[in-house]
Amino acid sequence: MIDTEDGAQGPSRAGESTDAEVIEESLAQPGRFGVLYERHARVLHGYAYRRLGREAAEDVVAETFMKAFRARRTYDLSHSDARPWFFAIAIREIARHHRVEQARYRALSRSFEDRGDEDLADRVADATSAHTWRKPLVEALAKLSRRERDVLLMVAWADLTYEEAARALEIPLGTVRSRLHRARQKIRRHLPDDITLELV
Amino acid sequence: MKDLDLIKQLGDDLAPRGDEPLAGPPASAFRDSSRKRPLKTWQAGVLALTVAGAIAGAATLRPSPNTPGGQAATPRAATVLDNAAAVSQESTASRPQGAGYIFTETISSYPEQVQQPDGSIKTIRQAPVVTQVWLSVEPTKDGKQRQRPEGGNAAWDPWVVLAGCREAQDSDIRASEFSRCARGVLPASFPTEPAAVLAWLKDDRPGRQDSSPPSAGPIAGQDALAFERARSLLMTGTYLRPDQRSAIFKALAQLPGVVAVANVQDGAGRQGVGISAGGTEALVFHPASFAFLGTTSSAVMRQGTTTEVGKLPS
Repeated sequence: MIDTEDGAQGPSRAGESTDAEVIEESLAQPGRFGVLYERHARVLHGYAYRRLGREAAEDVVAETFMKAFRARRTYDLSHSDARPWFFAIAIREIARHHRVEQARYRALSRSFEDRGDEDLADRVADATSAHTWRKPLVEALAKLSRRERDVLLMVAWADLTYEEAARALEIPLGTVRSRLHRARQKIRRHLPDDITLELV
Repeated sequence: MKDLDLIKQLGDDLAPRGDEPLAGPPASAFRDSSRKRPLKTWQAGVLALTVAGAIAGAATLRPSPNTPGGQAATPRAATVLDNAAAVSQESTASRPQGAGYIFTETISSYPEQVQQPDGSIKTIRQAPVVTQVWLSVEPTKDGKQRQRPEGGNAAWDPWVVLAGCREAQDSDIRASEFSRCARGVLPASFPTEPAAVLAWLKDDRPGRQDSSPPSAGPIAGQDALAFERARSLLMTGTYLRPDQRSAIFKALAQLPGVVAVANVQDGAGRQGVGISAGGTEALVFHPASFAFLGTTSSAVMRQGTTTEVGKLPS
């Protein structure tokens, strides 16, 4: 789901320093933190962009890395992959933009209705299916509680595992499952009946 | 089509275009500021309290080979884990027979960071939550889970279905794939030799190398992953045979860098001795019997077998 195809993004590969090692090194050489920007910025930006749009997404990414940099001494070095940690910070930043997010969902809903947003309309391949599920889906997303939306979209849009989402949100794994379950139930209730849904 | 697929498809529609540049960090972004602002009075007070608390905490939490008079010594991590392995081996807990479900009840209380009106972040402990999980002995069958706040007569949240392992391959299950579906029991092929269990937890396979060097600090790399997977195995409601549980503890004892931590509490507030890999969550064992209690965030209160979901063990 998240773009990592250029190879320069994403978690460390074999032979490279892990995120935890980079963070540890950055305590003596602050510039090393830039390695983590190279690895994770695009993923975080993609996630924030989906939820908030271009402008706010750039703010979120910048703020996330600045806060992460300042807090790097508190990083739990037993976790080699720092992606959930960055998401933990990014989620709090996204929460600060909740009005922007709600406005985005309203705008999207309108655009799916009257196709007024040509830019977006161009990118939606199948107009028929867009009318059948995109609009109710966006409206359903807007009605979820922030906590439910955070879990659902971390799993669906950022490809975080349940364990990673639990770590990012600092909640038990069981609570991730509960929130995800509730969120999906609410989403299903909003979708048209003629769309076949596989209940999990 | 699954609802999650629709949400993913919507995510693809809303994603930034591939050719949209992402601004890099400003050149000055990752530099430590040399200017130190003077502390305000309240900040100095908070700092003083924090330092005092940290000193007090260190005095009680750090494993101390030279114990002050009147206080029991904290055993070494390997001793705790070896004792726990021996206790587990002698367990007479009933084994699941044929079909049915493994019932596990846990109480969890996690720290949560809350932003204060002044912008600072305060860590508070969440109210305890009771989780009851039923996992099927038959791996392809779904399990179920429910949660409610602990205490009082709070209603249960709606049931959550835990998808079973549709494509269960008993002969070749990797640690990295284990948590993708719910299993009431481990496959028969799960190793019972500590070295083999450790290799399984690290997901060792031919040609794979751990790039992380040995560290004197908190453990990292595959060792940290192994610790995390062991924690997950012990806590997510899967029934572990006495020899499997024992082998997991012996495997953890082989990890360099795990330490014993005195006077910790599990998620239900029970006192115990912790085994930590340097992270925020330690395993907790009874200080006298070395029975496994849970972790510093969650406590295993009971586990047993039942014939159907929703039914409690007798």
